[in-house]
Amino acid sequence: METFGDLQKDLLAEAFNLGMGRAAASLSEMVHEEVLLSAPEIVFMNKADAAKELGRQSSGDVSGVSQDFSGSFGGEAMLLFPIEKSLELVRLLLQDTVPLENLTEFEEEALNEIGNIILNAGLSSLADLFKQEIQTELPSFRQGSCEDLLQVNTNTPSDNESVLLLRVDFKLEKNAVDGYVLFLLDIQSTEALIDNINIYLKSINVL
Amino acid sequence: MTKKNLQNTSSVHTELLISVMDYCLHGTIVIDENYRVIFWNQWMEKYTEIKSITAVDEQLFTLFPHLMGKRIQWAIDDALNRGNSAALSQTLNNAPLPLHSGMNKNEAVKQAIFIKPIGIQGENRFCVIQVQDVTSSLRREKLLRDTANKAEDAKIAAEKLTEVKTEFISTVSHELRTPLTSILGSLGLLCGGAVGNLSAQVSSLINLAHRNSQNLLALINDLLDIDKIESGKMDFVFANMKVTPFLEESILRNSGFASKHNIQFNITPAQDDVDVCADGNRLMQVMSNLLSNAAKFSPKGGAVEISTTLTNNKVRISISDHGLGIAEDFQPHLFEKFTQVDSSNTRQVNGSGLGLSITKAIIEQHDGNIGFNTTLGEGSTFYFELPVITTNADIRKACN
Repeated sequence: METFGDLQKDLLAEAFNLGMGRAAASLSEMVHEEVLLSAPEIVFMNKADAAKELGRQSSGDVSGVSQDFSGSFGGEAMLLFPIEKSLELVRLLLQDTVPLENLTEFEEEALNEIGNIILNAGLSSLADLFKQEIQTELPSFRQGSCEDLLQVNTNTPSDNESVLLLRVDFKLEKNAVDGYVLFLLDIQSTEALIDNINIYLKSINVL
Repeated sequence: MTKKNLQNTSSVHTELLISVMDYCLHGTIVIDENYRVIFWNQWMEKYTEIKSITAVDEQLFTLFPHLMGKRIQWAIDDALNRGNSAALSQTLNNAPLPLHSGMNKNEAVKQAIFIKPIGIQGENRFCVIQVQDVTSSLRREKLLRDTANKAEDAKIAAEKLTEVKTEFISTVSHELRTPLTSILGSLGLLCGGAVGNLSAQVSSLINLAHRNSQNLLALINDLLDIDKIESGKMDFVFANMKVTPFLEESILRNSGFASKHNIQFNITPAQDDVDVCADGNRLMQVMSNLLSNAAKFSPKGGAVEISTTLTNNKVRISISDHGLGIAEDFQPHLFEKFTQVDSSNTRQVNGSGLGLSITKAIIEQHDGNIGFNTTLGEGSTFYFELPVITTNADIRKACN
């Protein structure tokens, strides 16, 4: 992935952070509390490495939201947290104190909506930047091991799919929770994304 | 395009699909890019009491002006302008559509809303809004939450009570031990003739008081030990030691029990002595408990056998009596706190019922295990097993 250098990375980070700003504004209005969202880190890697990276941040399974998207490039977008962090985030946002170790049905539904807002905002920021159409599907709640959720085949590792991995920080008035946004792209979509980035960079005369 | 128009221009298949949407068990609204309603199914008619004929061709925000500028409008705009799908949860949106079921007209129907863009022939943008009634799920979840909250409150109350009880027992035990020690000391001096000879009657009463004070001190010490075990504050000083001399010493130290109950302790030493890593004082406490129990429950004039066997890098020390044995229904509770074979007020054998519970905790701290075999009418064998130390590395590992 030689064409994905610092310049490309900076452009994507800037676009995503605009999207995160929009998502944060929506969430703040919904939960009547200031929510700040930022994506301080962005990196391209293969699926197996992405699963390892997520596994390092979480002692067990992860949970979150998955959404398919299509357009000039397509794939699956995910917002994932270690399970205890997803509980923490939802309960902070909902000011919920139920003493259960798992998300309840309605907390799952709320996390789905939170993920939906963030993933839509992230994808829309890319669509806006490249003046392309990206359609998103309805979100669904996911829970399991990093390998299962990323469908990593440990027997026959494949480099045909890459992951654009972003760390996302949620800041509320008193607390902070961080999770990950992932875009799983096949090889064509990865190339299409990089083409789009390079076309944009050329259009503003920085490449 | 109205529902009627849609039907006029559609094939049989389209008409069939429209009927399916009309009868489906969720609310379905289709709007165009000007928010104009073009489809309104029967579920929506039932839950809003707005007929399809009224709704179709109206703007959604004319029908529901309070939704303007709210999350549902952002989601619709996002679907129409950007092609994004959205899920609106009941929890974060609190029933935005004014829906009422036939069951209870005063209660708003709780709802989950799904918004999805539909593009036909590239340019035309529509948006489908699907609504699910989640009232009964929410009711179930409320029940679950109430139950979980009550359980949590009960757990906190029980933990608090246990804490208070433990603290109470600990404080009372400490406060009792100090005066009891001086009572015991004084009674001991009286028994020993320090203030001259006593009459037979007085001597008998003083002996009774002395014995019972000793029992009381033992009970207090047991209570303090249990408190230390439960709070994880019991200290152990591990060191390497040989088993046979330890067993001989334990028999010597407990010979008072043997003579008191008129029984004999017989030891069968192991052929080869082995080393274990143990806290000698705590292990002596284990032996005293097992030997005194065996003595208490043995018939007068009988014998208690102490033997050592080696299996799988473990040494097993067994103490066998020829007493009554232990009833089957009592066996599972033997190592529980405050357990006595005879718990009646008129029981013949003294004891706090804490000894075996303390013994088990001490053996487990030694990475060992404790158990028993018993036959009613024939007697019981209590045993404990400890890992055998064979190398210097074992010593370091076990004693650390």
